[in-house]
Amino acid sequence: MNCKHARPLVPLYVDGELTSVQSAELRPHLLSCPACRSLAQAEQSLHAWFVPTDEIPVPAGFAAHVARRAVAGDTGSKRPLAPVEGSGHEHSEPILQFVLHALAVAAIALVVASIAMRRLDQPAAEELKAHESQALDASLFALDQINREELRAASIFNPQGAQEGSSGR
Amino acid sequence: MALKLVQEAPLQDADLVREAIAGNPLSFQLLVERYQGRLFALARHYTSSPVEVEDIVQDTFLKAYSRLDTFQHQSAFYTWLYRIATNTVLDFLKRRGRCPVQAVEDPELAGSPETDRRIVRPDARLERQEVAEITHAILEGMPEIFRTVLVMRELEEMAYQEIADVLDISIGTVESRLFRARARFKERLVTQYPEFAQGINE
Repeated sequence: MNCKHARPLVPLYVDGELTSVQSAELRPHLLSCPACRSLAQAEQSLHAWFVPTDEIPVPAGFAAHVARRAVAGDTGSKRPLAPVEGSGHEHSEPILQFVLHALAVAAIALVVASIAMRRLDQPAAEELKAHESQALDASLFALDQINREELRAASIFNPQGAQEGSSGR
Repeated sequence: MALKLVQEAPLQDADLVREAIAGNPLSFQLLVERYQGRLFALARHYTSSPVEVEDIVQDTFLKAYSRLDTFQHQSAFYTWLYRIATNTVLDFLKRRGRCPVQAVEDPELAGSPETDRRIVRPDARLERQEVAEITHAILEGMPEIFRTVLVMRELEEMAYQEIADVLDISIGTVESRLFRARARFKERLVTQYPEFAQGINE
């Protein structure tokens, strides 16, 4: 057996998934090939990380309780998720709601105040000064210029791109 | 001969299932008692909250009871139950806000040959529970399709065929998923816990 054949079999060997015939074929290669052997050792080293965690005990009477619910027709799905221990969600929700309400009230007050202030400051149509309308016209004109330039650039570059594309083929 | 043995063992899973379907609640309770410990251990691999573990296991049994008549007796009862438990866990993770990462089967995402050869043993100074916590934290950050195969193989010590049966995938897919899952696990170990993972490049 060579490395090319051995490599894919190594994880299966470590997991005990090879037949006895396959294992018997692979083992001599692992003994003689340091590279494939180190691969097997690397695979094996990972197992050490998977140790059993502390058990969570089954509460007394769990089976009887579940059987009763099952017979009563509880199908188990779509029930609300239990709150995570120590997450504080159950305590934070009323506080969060209060803060959100307070923010909403403050936002409304701000909008009302700003509208009122704008009304006071806003010049009537006839008061709109000439230089203000000129400035507006100038900025619109500038925007229009940019749009035109972009369109021109697109019409210049696109045919070139098309030509390059066709010459490339 | 085999038939005689079955008749002499009235508490076989299949018999309890039949009796439960026939309306005997005690038979179902016996099934729950038989497998509750294993399902608590299974759910524990996905969450450390006792409340959530209990919720997942209870949900699994309730779903199982509601569809007991679909149990075909072709596979072992526990394999069938385990499949429901795995789906319940995945539903639970989804509701928790986790979503399976797409395109995770991309071979490019597998480890490099250097990573493959890397030996990553837990640091000798780590306590068993600390090792378990690191592993749990890494698993928690992994896409579900990798996490499930690692839990099944490494923690539940299931054979490839059993994993394939539960997840309804081929053995070849189990192999490739495990390969990629391990490569990812190793990569994360070395990058997230370099001080505890003794990475040795052979």
